[in-house]
Amino acid sequence: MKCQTIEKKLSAYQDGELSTSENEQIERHLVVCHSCREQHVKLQQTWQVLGEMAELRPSLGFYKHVSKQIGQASQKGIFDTSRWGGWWVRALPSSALASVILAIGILCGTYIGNSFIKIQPLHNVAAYPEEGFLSSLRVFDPAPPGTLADSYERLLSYNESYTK
Amino acid sequence: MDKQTPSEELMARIAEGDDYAFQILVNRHQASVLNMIYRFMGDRSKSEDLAQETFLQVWRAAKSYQHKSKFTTWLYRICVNLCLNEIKSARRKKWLQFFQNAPDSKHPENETLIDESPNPEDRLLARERHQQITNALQALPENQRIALILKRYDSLSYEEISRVLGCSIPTVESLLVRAKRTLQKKLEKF
Repeated sequence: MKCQTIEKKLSAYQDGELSTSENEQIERHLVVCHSCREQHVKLQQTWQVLGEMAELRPSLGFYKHVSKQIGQASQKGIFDTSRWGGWWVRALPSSALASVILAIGILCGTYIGNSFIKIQPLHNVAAYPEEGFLSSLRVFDPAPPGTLADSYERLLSYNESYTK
Repeated sequence: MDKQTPSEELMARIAEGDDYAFQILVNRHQASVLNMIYRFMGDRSKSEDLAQETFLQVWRAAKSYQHKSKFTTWLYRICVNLCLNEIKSARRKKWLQFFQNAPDSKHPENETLIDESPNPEDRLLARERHQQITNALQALPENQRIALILKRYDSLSYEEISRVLGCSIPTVESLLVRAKRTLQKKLEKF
């Protein structure tokens, strides 16, 4: 094996994660290669230094705190949103509020729009029974003024007159 | 049931509502969970809260726990998820603090560390070393840090680490190689 390959495998070698044959190959290489041996020693030194990190002892009332939290969670029961699921439960009130505001907006908009724009009455459907269905659809009626369709029609007629 | 009962068996009893089994389980794993979180987060007070939250999650998930993997692997997975969530929310808070121009509330917590040495000079030196190691660990990317902590301090195999992190064994190997290289440079002065 080349030094580059050995260097990559040194970490796994140190952690005892290599197969027996790989271990033997690395050991043989380390005997003859000074550079890789040095690298291995440095790696071991770092590993040793990490072991000097102080340990913490849990506080004396650790279990007490945990059981207290469990008691509180049990009291919350089904109203505990974190147990049900995450953000969507918490987001429910705000999305419901947004829906209500939107609905009010649509209603108000429709009312105000209708009060400003005069809609033409329907044809007398009874007088033309065979055209009753088509008339009720009001497909061929001119578009009410102020609507998008009316603007489109005006634009078309303007274009036609301009081209003539 | 005694202190030798395997954790997997204790979990089955916890699922049936056995408080004593839960107490044994907490006492058995509290130190390793606390230290794993502390090494990862580098903050004593947060670590205690997160360790308690971990056991709360264990209690909640007891009924759905399956013996597919080792208990400790499952436990560390909960720990890691909680730590990552905490880091995400801390980042959000940091942004808010930045916009509100509020000072960072982080403060050194060296006084809470355990120092066994009776000599004040040794204690000071040990604290200094501890701080340097903590800083070096905190400088690592999160996934490298987790992999290294689980290997160095909890002696988990690459396969177990891959299960905790939800990645492949070669990925774990690569994470550890990079983490060790970085730490080697940072802790050279030792």
